[in-house]
Amino acid sequence: MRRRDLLAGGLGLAGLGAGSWYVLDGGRGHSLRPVTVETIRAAGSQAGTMRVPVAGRVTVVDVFSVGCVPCKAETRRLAAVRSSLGADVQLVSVTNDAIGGTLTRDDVRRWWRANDGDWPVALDAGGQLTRELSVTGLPTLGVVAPDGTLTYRHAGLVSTGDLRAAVQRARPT
Amino acid sequence: MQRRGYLRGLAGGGVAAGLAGCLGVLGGGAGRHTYLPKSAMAKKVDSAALPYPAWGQPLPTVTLPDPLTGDPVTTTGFEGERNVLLTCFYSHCPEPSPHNSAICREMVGVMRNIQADGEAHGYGDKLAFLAITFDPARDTAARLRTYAGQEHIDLHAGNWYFMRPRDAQQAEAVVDGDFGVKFIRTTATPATTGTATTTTGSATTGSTAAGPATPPAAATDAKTPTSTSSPATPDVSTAAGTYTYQHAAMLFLANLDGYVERAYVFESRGNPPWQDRRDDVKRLIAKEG
Repeated sequence: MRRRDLLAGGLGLAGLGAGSWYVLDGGRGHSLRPVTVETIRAAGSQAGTMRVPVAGRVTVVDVFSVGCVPCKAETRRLAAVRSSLGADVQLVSVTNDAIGGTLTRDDVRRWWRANDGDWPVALDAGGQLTRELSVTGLPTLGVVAPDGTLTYRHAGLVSTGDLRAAVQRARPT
Repeated sequence: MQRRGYLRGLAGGGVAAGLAGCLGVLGGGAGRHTYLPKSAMAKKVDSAALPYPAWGQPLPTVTLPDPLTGDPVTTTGFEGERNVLLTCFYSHCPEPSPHNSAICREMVGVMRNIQADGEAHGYGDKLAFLAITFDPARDTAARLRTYAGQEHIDLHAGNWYFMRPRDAQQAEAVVDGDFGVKFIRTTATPATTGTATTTTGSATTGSTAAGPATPPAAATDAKTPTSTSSPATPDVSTAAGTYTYQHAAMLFLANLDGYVERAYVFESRGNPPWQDRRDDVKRLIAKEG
C-alpha cells in the first residue's frame, strides 16, 4: 500500500479556501501573569525592559511578527487610534520573532517605522507573553485591566470600535 | 535503502497489530527509536495508520540537489550529527487573505525562528533544516535565494538546505509518495465571485480543523476544499505563474538516529506558537545528551 493511497481518504488539505488563520475564541477573563520583555530602541520606544501588563494601568498588548502581512495593517490601525484611547492606557507591541540569523533589531526598527509604530515595542522570543495570551495566530491583541485581568483578546485585525469599547470596559468603574 | 525497505514492509504487510510492538508503539515513555514520548495527538493514533512518517518511524531517505549549492542533500545524511526539521513547501504561497490561510508560510516561519533561536542559544549545530519544494518549475535557485532573504532565513548558518526535485513527477514521488504530503496544483481564487464559495468552504474546513487533538487521518475530508474552490476557478487565471497549490501542511522532526519524533500537522488556523516546537527540539537535544 502506498502512502498516497492512504492519504486520499485522510489528511485534510490546507491552502486556498481554508479561511482566515485567525482565531476568535476565548482566553479572556483570566489573570495575565506579568512578563518582563526587552524593549528596543525604535520610534517611540527606548531600549530597556518593561513589565507587561503594566500594573495599575489599562494595558493594550499587540503581538506581531515582521513576516506577518496583516500585522502591518494592525500596527497602522493602532497608530491611528492610539491618541483617542486615553492617557491612562499603555500600548505596547511585542514581536514574536526570534531575533538572530538575518533578522536583526534593525529589521524590526525599519518595519516599525514603515508601519507608523510610535510606542514601546519589545521582543518576546522566549514566548512567555505569547503563551500568556494563548497566541495561535498573528496579530493577536489583548486588553488587560489595571488589576491584571485579561478582559479582551482578539486574533486577526482588530476593529477600532471594538478596541475602544474593550479599553473602556477594562477601566475600573 | 535498508530503512525504506523496512518501512515499506511494514506498510504493505497488512498485519499492523502484530507489528505494533516492533515500532515501539507501547504508549507511555519514549519508544524503541525515539527519545521523546508520544505527543498527545500521536497517542490517539497508530503511526502505521498514518499516510505520513510519524512517531517512531524512520524518516524517508530521499536525495535531492540543493539548488543554491548544486550539492546533493540526503534527508538521512545527518544521522549521528544533526536532528532534522523538514517541511514541504512552495515559495509562491500567497499572502494571507480572507479566503486563503497561507499556512505554508507558517511552517517555514517556524523553522526560520528555530534556526535563529538555535543560533542565538548555541544549539543550531545540532539541527539541519530541510525545505523540499513541490514547485520546482518556479522555485529556482534565484527565486529561493530571494525567498530566503524575505523570510530572514540564514543561508550562511550552514544548517539550512533547500531541496528541489527535478520536475513535477519527482516532486509527486517524493513529497506525496515518500512523505505523504498531498498537494494539488490549482489556480488563484478570484476576489469577486470566488469569495462566497470559498468562505463556505473555509467555514467547513475551519470547524473541522479547529479541534487540535483530532487525529489528522480522521480530521477532515480531503475532498472538501478542493470541490468547494474549483467552481470558483475560472480558466482566465491559469496563466503561467499564477497557479497555487492546495496542500497538506506538515513539519517533521527526526532525531539523530533518523527516526521521526514529531509530525506536526498545521491546521488552517489556531496553530501553537513556534516556541512550542522549539521546546520539543530542545527537549529532544537534551535527551540525546
